[in-house]
Amino acid sequence: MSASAEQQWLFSLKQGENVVWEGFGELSGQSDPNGTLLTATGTGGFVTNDFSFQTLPDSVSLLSSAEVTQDVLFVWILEDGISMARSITLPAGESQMTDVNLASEPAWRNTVKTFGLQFSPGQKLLLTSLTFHKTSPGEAMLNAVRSFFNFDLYRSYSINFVWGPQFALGNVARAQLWDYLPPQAFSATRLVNILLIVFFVGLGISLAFQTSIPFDAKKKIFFRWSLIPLVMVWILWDLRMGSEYLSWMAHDARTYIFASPEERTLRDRDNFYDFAEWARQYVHDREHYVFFAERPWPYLGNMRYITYPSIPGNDTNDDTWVLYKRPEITVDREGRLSAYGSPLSNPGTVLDKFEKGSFVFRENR
Amino acid sequence: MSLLAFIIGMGVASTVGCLTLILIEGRHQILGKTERIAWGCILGPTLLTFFFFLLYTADLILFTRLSLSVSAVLLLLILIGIAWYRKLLHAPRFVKPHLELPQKKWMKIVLVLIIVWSAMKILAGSLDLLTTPTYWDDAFNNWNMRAKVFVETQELALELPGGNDITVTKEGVNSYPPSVPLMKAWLTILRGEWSEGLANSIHAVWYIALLVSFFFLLRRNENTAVSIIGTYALTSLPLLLIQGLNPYADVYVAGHLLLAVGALWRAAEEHESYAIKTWLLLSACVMTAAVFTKNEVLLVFLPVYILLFAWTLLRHGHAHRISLKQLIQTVITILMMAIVLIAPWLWFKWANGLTFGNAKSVSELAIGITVQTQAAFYAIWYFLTREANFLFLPLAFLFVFIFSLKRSLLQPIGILALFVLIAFFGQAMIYLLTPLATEATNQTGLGRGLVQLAPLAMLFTVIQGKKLIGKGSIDD
Repeated sequence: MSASAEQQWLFSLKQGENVVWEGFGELSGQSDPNGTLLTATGTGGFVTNDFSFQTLPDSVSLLSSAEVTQDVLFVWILEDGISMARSITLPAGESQMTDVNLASEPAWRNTVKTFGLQFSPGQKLLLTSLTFHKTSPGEAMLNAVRSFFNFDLYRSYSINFVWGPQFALGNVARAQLWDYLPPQAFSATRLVNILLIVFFVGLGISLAFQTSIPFDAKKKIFFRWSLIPLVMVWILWDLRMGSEYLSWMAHDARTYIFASPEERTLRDRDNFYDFAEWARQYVHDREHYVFFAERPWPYLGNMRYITYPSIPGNDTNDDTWVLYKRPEITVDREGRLSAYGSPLSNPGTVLDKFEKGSFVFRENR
Repeated sequence: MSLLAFIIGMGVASTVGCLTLILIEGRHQILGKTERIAWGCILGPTLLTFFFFLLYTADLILFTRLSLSVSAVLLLLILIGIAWYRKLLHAPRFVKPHLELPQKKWMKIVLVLIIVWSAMKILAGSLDLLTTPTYWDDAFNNWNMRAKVFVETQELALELPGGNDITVTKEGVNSYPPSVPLMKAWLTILRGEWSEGLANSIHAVWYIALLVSFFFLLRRNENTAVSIIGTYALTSLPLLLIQGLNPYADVYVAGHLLLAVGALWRAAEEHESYAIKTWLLLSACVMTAAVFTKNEVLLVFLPVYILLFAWTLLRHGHAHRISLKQLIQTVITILMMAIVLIAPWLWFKWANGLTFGNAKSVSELAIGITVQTQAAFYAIWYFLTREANFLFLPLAFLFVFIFSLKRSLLQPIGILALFVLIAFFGQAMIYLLTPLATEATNQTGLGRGLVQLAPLAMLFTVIQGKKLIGKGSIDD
């Protein structure tokens, strides 16, 4: 196998495949040409220990089909009997591939002998296969370089800290670098801090043994040589971080500043700011109003700021309701706002609709 | 309208700052014109909003366009009148900065490249700041929200409506000094209605003023090329750049600390008594005004500053560079300055039951080693060594400090390093030993505190680092 090729191990659950696995708990399995239909009536799962890796894989890909998105547990047992688990979200749909980075799991070690999946009561899915991957050394090197320049997004935590460049060696780890926080990779800043200290110490020791150089001259040599790697990594890091910053600015310019008002979105807040400005006209004459967004933070505080002095809240005695991305809340036959069949308000009318699930409603009083 | 309001509002504020600096400098002006404007942009808004605050607490004004405008003009007239009376408006300059360019072509190219690269980041960030809505928590819950409430109520409101029938009481963010929201309110009131871009524009001014001030402070010790490189290094700090071009107040505080401690360092370096006195007065004015920016100035930075200020006085007194009479005069002037600039705010806090501490009352903070201590320690370590918040400044600063320990402890340049280290130690102790550990483990307050110190750390690192690699003994 060449240094640049990835190693793979396929654990197929298709009918006729010669794999051995052992079910536990309340799980039934039915073989199918496309995999095994697994149905959990209670907590249950399967494990296999009839599988050997030549070297420890760094990721696993699950091929599955399901009607709804489901969280299952990928479990593994070490040689000493300690069992570990990691939650995996399997999406709804036919033949969905889900990649999971295992390299970041501290307990994913060479002593893994048994692995499997565990399901919760009521879960049902067709599992086709688990494919384990081991990134080759060549790919790992390439991934390290590419992940170094893989930028984070401008997020709500960016005002407090930036992760900085990361080294993700595995293919999946690099692809999912910013999907999980903290990043499942090795901090390049940490590595360089260590290397710089090692360099300083090494240089100091090597100069200490140079008896022919006067002490003052040694000091100057030490400081001047120390400056070279420091300046080099400083410039490299500035290029990396400055480019990340400019990429954030470019993204804002593209998606918000220069985008059309109908299409613009801001970072993770989607079109909230245009919605809030639009809703303001309907609440400006109200001291308080009811406001429900897809989640309280950060929308409640942000809405309060935008519509001040009209104050949003969850007091349903107010007559004006502002709803942002709440498609489950609709107007029922009696003209009331209701969710899942339960009425929420008195009868009234929709004053205006921003988009599906986002509208302003006023009770008849 | 926003541009006009910005020009008038910021123009008045920076002029107040510049005139105050001219009055302090007296007949022997020691700041260059551009340098003074940069200092004025940082100090001026603090002094102007403090003046509004004084008149408001004396029941003389409300926050209306007429009363704030009249107050601003009155303050300008007072300052111009004193400066004119003392014939200071055209006083000779003590130092004329000479901005020579390097002779080597490659060095010129390097300087142009780093200036263009830094300018790109600052321009892009400024455009973003001016044209996007207020996105960050502390901006829409505190800094900008309070400004809106001041504009709407025309009062220094100490309670905010929080939504969900919750009121943000005066024990919370309302205990913060009102300078930043009041400055935003001043610009808004001039314009007539709220504008996000206008309210947020002052942060870009403060960030740029910080960079210009840093350049000129560095220029007093180094040549133009080194000063540009040092200023570039400051702009390359990611967290400082992000904070500087967003509506948070920590770069504003950082600006005050840079001027106050930088001026103290200059005072310690000087040998002429009038220069010593002028730098000390400038330093003390900025530091006492800084108490009106954020609570941590009073609790963390002012004690460290007083310690180093006393050390500077003793050092000059011991070397007979300043007579006992001059020393007493300077101390009395500074004490009067402190009484005028600090006492009213402290009295207001006590009178209104406002807390001391950042959003959490100091008196409510239990001190002790808890389960959070280890997590906070790890978070601080992680922040400084694994994240790229300040690139390699923590390591470079420590390296330079250790290898110039003698000079750092005994010579004036050490003021910069000692201020950073003692203040950081104080911050770290707060995170390690109090329930504010969450500010470290959640990486919220931790970064902001270090942003305030970063320019001083960089100034020390560049000057002392240059000394280490340059000719001559580092202990010269």
